[in-house]
Amino acid sequence: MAINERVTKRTKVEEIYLASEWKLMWWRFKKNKLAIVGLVVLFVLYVLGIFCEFFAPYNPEKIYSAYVYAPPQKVHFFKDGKLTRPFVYGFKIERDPQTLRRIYKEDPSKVYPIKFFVRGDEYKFWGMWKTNLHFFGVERGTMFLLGTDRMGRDVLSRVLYGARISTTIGLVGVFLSMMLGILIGGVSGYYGGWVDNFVQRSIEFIRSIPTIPLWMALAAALPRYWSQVKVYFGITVILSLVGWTGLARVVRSKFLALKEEDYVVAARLAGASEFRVIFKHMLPALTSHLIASVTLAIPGMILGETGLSFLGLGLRSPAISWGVLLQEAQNIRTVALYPWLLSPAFFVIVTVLCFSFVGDGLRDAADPYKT
Amino acid sequence: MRKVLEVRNLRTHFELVEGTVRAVDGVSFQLNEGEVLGIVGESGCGKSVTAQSIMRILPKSARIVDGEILFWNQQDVVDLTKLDSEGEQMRNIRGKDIAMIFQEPAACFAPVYTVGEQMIEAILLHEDMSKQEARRLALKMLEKVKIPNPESVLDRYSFQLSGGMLQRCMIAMALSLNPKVLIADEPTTALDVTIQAQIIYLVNQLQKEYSSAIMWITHDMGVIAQISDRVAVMYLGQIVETAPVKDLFRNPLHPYTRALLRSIPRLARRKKKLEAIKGVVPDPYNLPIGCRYHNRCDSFIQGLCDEREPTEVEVDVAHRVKCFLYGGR
Amino acid sequence: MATGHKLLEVRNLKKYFPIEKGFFKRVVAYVKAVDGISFDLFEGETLALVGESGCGKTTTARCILRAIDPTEGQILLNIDGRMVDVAKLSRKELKPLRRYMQLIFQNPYTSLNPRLKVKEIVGEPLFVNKIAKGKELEEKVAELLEAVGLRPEYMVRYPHAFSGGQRQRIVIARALALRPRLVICDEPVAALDVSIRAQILNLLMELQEKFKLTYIFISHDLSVVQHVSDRVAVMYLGRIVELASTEELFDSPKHPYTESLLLSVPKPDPEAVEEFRPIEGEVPSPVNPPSGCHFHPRCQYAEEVCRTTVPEFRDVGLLENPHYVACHFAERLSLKGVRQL
Repeated sequence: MAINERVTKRTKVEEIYLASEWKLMWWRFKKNKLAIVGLVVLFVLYVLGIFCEFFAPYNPEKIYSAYVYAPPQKVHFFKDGKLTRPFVYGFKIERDPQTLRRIYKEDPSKVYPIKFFVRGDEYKFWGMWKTNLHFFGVERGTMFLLGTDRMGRDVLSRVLYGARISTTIGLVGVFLSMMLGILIGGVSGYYGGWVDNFVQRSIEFIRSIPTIPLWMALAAALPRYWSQVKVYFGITVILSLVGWTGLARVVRSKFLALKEEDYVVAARLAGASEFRVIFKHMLPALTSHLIASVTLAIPGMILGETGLSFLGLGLRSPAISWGVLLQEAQNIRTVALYPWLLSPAFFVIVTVLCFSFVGDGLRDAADPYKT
Repeated sequence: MRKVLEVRNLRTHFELVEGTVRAVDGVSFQLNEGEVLGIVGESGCGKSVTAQSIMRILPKSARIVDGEILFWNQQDVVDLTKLDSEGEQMRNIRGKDIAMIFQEPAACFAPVYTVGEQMIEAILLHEDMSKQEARRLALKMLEKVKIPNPESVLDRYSFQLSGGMLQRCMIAMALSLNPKVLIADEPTTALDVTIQAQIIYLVNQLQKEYSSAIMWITHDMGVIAQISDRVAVMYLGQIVETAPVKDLFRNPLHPYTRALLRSIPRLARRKKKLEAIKGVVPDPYNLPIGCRYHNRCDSFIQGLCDEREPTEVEVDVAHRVKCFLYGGR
Repeated sequence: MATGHKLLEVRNLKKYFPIEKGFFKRVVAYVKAVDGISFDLFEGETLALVGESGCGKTTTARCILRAIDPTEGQILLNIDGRMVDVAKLSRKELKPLRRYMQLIFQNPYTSLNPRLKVKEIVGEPLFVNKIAKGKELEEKVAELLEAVGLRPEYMVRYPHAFSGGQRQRIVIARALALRPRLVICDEPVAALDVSIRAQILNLLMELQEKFKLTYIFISHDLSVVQHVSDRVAVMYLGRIVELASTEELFDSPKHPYTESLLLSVPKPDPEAVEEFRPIEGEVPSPVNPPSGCHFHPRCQYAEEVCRTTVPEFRDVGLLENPHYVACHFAERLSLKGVRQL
C-alpha cells in the first residue's frame, strides 16, 4: 500500500472515531438514495407552498368565466421545427352541437411566450408587501398548465396555495402531540408505579374514543365567527390532545428499558441528578427515533386533512387545500370529463411518499450502533 | 480412520459497507470418523463462519470465494461449496448428515410449537416413517440425553424449559438422525458451569455410542481440553496450529497458542500477575500484512513476519503450525 | 490481605422482588433474589462472590451500591471510622456517599453512553460532584486515562472507536474518577476475549495496589476468582453457603456445592480428563426454593435433616483463618478441593 493511501485510510478511520451520533446518522442517511430524493422533493414542495403567492401564476380566486373547465395548456418548445423559448397556444372555443359543451382547441395563431418574473395579478406577499411579481407566467393571453375548474380558476395556482395549508396546518398539531407524548410517556416510564398505571389506563380510555364523531362535534363546537382555516387549526390542536397516546406509549417503553441501561445506572451511581440523567442520557437516546416517528406522522396528518376535507368535515371552500380541491372533483363526471381536476391527488401522493421515504431513511439511520 | 469431511483452502468473505472482511481466509482441515475436533479462537477469528460455510447457512452479505468442502456421503464425495445452498441435495445433507447445535438453543426452537412437534417434524423431514414412530424415536433420544420425564418434555414449549434442558433437547434432535458430522458452535458458553459440566459429560458418553464426528467450536481452552481429540487454533480467519489435544497442551508451538495458554488463569496455579498478550485484535477491515499475529507476537522477526505470510509446516505427526519459527518460508 | 479494618459490614441483607399479576397488580409471590446474607469486608482485600446465574450475586452488589433498594438488612459502610447504614439513607443523604463506592460493569458495550465523548464519560463523576470542570477536568481525565493504560488523546473520541478491552478500561477509569474506597467489579472480564482478559485482570490488580482499593469481585468463573481474590463467598439461591480464604476454599471446601462447582470447571489440561460424574439437576427457581438447605435436592450427601432444617451459617475454621459454611455435615464430610485432584 502506498504511503498516501495509508494516510488517507488512517484519517478516514480517525474521522469515524471522532464522529458524533448525528454525523454517523447523516452518513448513513446519505447512503439511502430514495430518502435523499424524498428530502429534495419535500424541500421543493415546501418552498413552493411557503412562497405560493410568488410561484402561482394567478390569483387562485380569480375567475376566468370565459375559460370554464379549460384543459391543461401544453407547453411547447418548438415552433416550425425550431427551438424557441417555451410558449403556449391560446384557445379556440367551439361548441359540441349535441351536448352544447364547450370544446377547447389549440389555436396556433395565438402564441403566448412564457416568461419568468412577470408582472401579473397583484397580491400581498405574506399579507405584508403589495406586489405583482410572479415567478413565471404569460404577459398576454392565458396559461393554465393544469387547466381550470368549474368557475374558470387556475388549478395550478390553487394547488400551490393548497400546498401551503395542507402541508403546514397539521404541523403544530404533530408538534404538540410529540411534546405531550414525550412528557407524559417519559413521566410514566421514569417513575413507574401508580403514576404509570394511571397514565396507561388513561391512554387506553383516550384511544377508545372514535375520532370522526369527535371531529364532527368539535367542528360544530368551535366559535361560528372563526374563519375556516382557524376552525380547522383549532380542531387539529384539540385532536393532538388526543393523538399523543401512540408516541407516549413508545416513549414509555423506551424509558422503561433505558432506565435499566448500564450507562444510565452508571450516571446515577456517579451522583448525577435526575434532571441530568433524563436530559443528558435518556432523552438523547430517543431523539433520533422521535424525529423519525414524527416524520412518519406528518403524512398521516396530510392524509387526515385531505380525507376529512373530502368528507366535508375538515376545511371547506373558500379555503383552499388539497382536500378541498379534491372534494370539488368528487363525482364520476369530473373524473371522466375533467381529469385534470384530480391533479391535487398526485401532489398528495408524492408528498406522502416522500415523507415515508425520508422517515424510513431516518429510522434506518437512527441506529448507527446497531449491527 | 476414514475422512468424513475435508475443508480445503476455504475463503469466506463478507462484503460490508465498511469494506471486505476476510472472515475465513484459507482454512484447511479434515475431520475423521468418530473424532472430536476442537476449534478454538477468540471472537472474530472465523470459527463460527467456518461452521456456517460448511452448513451453507451464511448470512446474505457473506460469500464463499474460494476453496472446497468435501463431504464423504456413503460412497461418493460431494463438494458442498458447489451445491445450491437452498437446493434439495444440500437440504438433505443439512440436518441429516451434518447436524448443528448452537449457543442459544432458545433461539432454535420456535415458541409456538412444542419441543416434541419440532423434533418429530425434523425427523419426518428426512426419514420415511410414521408419526408414531417418529415420536417414539424422539422419546428415545430424550432418554438418551438424560432428560427427566421425557414424555412430558415432548409436550412442552421451549420457553418452559431451562437453558440446560433445551440444549439437551437440541442435542437429542441433532443426533436423532444419526448424522455423520455434528457441528457444535459454542454450545455450553451460555450455560452455568455445573450445567456445562453435565453437557460435556453427556457428549463424552454419547460419543462412545454414536460414531458421529464432532466439530466443537469454543473459545474456552478448558472445554477444549476436556472434550476434543484434536485441536485447531484459529486467529483472524486462519488456522495457525493443529495438533492432537495432548500435544497441543504439552507442547504448544505457535506463539499465539503459547501466549493463549499462558494467559488463562488456572485453578491450582496461583501467581499474582498473568502473562497477558499485548495489544488488541486488529481491525478486521485492515488486517496486518504478513503473518497476522506479528504485531502481538513475542518472537516477531523484523523484515520477515511483517512482509510474508508463513506457510503451514508439519512439525510432528499430525502437528502442523503456521509460523516462520518452524520453517514455512 | 485482610489486615485492614472493616470497610463494610453486611448484615442479614434481603432483596425480594414481588411478582405482580392481574389488573390491580396483586403481589402473588416473591423472587427471593437475596435471602439474608451477612459478611464483612476488610480494607484492601478482594472478596469474590461466586455462584451460578440466579444465585443473587449481582443483586447483592446492586443493593450495596443502592442502585436498588434492599428489602431488609443493614449495609454498614465505614466512613472515616463511623459506620453508616447505607440501606437506611434517603436518596439525598446517599448522594455524598456515592463517591465511596463505584461499580465496574460486565458489558463494556452497554455501559458507555454512545452519544458522549470519552472525556464526558470519564469526567462525568467529577463534573456532577463539582470536583473539577473545564481545563482542570480535562487534565484529570487525561490522568485517569493514563492510569488505565489509554492514551489521553483518545478523550475526544466516541466509544464506538474502541474495542471491548479498551472500553472496559474506560469503564474502569470512570469508576476510579471519584477515588472510591470500594469498587464492585461485576463480572468485569466475562464479556471480553480470552487474550484481553489477562490484560484487564492485571490492570485491576495493579490499580488496587496503586489506589488502595477494596474489591468485591463478582464472577462465575472460578479460575479468575481464584487468581484475583483473597477471600471467596460462594452463593447458592440467594444465600452464602461458604465463605473462606481463597486457599482454604479451593484446597479444602466444606460445602458440597462448592465441591461440585470446583469439579465442574473444565481444566485446561487434557491429561486431567477425569471420570467424575457432575452433579445432577439444575438450580431451582428462587420463587419457590427447596425447604431446609436449598442445595439438598442436588446434594449427594443429603439426609433427612437437610430437607427440614436450614443449616446455620457458622465458623468451622481456625481462629486466625475463619471458614464459614452452611452445611449440617461440614465437619464430617471430606470433600475434594482442586489441589487434591
